[in-house]
Parts: sequence; structure tokens; C-alpha cells
Amino acid sequence: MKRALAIVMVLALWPLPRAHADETLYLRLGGKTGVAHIVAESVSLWMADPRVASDFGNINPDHLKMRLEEQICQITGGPCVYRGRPMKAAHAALNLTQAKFNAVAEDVQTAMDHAGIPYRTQNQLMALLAPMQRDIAVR
Amino acid sequence: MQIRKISRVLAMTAVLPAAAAVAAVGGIVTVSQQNRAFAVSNERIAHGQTIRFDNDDQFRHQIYVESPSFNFESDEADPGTTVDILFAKAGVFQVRCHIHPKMLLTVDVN
Ligand code: HEM
Ligand SMILES: [Cu+2]
Repeated sequence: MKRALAIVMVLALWPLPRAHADETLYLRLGGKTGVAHIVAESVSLWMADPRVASDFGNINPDHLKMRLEEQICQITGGPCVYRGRPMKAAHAALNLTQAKFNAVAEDVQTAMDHAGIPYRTQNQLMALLAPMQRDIAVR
Repeated sequence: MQIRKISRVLAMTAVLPAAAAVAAVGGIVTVSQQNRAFAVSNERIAHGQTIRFDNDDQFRHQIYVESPSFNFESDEADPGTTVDILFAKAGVFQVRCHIHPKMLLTVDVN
């Protein structure tokens, strides 16, 4: 009991955790569970979003989540290897518009909001996803 | 991957009775995959025949069969590749895709 109290006191005096310059974006997104959470919420939002839901009409969400988790883990400095296809090849036949790309990106931001990811960290992920528009949206 | 696929086919061929093995000769039926669907929804074959699935699509597919008497699971197959499934036993089997839940081919094997 005494010891538990001592631990609580030490924790209370501990400086607020600050993001180290060398801490990966992956860890700031919450690591494996954090990314899985953001991905699951994003895919749910896409499938319910009237702007893009029809594009996901014949998709196994678990398979898409698996690939997205790998991809986001990899591009944010996590210990994963993306095993899906390049973005251009994966999306070409879907003939996607810029507007659909924006809708999907917006839903990812909403998912991060819900997960309590700080705005600055959100922007860092969005900065990695934005250039993919070139390969994903064809009109 | 290629070797694995071939060895799987060989393994299945090995357990076939001689008569069925004979029936398998020249017994390949081809089914195309396009627009995230099988080109046909039903196929009737004899046991010992193989269905060759051509990926004529712009998407990967990963087909499987799940049943009490026969199970099959392919790797994720890129556009332009083929996957063979040898149906050694009679029965009605459903071929589905892990990536695209609406894909369904019913195979009637007699
Ligand atoms: C930053 C934006 C996006 C990212 C990071 C992204 C990422 C991915 C990834 C990693 C895959 C899996 C590819 C594979 O398994 O080989 C995928 C597939 C897919 N994406 Fe996207 N995507 C984005 C935008 C979009 C948009 C805007 C749409 C439609 C409105 C879309 C619809 C799909 C569909 C339907 C598939 C599955 C295709 C199939 O295999 O049948 N994606 N995406
Ligand atoms: Cu498929």
C-alpha cells in the first residue's frame, strides 16, 4: 500500500510526456493498437459514407483493414511491411474522382478526432496520405 | 509460391483413385474472373476435373472452398495469373473469394 502510494507520487511528479524528436509518427498514433483503431473506424466511416459507400460494396472490410494497417504502419515508421499492391494498380479500375479521395481523407481525419489524436499528429499522417491522390484519383 | 501451388495439386492427384486420375486428363474447365466476379455462377463437372481460374481482372483475388469434405485456399492471385482447383470428390461446392464477398461460383461435381 505504501509502495503503491509512492509510485503514484512519483508519477505525479514526473514531467508531462513530451514527444521526442526521434519518436515515430507510428508511436504517436498509438502504435499497433492505435493504428488498428484508426483504420477500423475509417473503414466503417467509408462504408457508411454516402459519398463513397458504393465503392466499398463488394469488399471484405477485414481484408482492407489488414492492408491499411500494414501500409500506415510502414509509412509512419512502424515495424511493418505492406503486402498489398501499389496505390495506382489497386485503384485504377475504380475510376475514382478527386471528390471521392477528399471524402475518404476527411473520414480518416474524423476517425483520428474520435481517437483523440492531437491535431498536429493528425496533420502529419494527412501529409503522408495527400500525395497518394495523384495515384488514386484519376479524374 | 508457384512450387507450393504445384505440389498441392500433385498431392491431391496422388490421393485420387486411378479411374478419377484418368478422368482428370484433359479435364480442365476454365472460369474467368472479371469486374470482381466470376464470369459464370454455376459449373457442372465430373469428379477428378480441374477448374482453372483465370484472373482477367484488375484486382487481386483469393479464392477458397470450405466444406466438410473438401477445403481449398489459394494465395492472393495477381491480375494475369491462374489458380487451379482439382475437384476430386462428388458434391456441390461453393467457391468464394476472401477479398470480394459477393463472388460466388457453385460447382456441381458428379
Ligand atoms: C489516402 C487514400 C487511400 C488510401 C491510403 C488507400 C489505401 C488502400 C489500400 C492499402 C488498399 C489495399 C490494396 C491491396 O490489397 O492490394 C486499398 C484498396 C481499395 N481502396 Fe483504397 N485507399 C485510398 C483511397 C481510396 C478511395 C478514395 C476509394 C474509393 C472511394 C478507395 C477504395 C478502395 C477499394 C474499393 C479497395 C479494394 C479494391 C479491391 O481489391 O477490390 N480507396 N486502398
Ligand atoms: Cu476476388
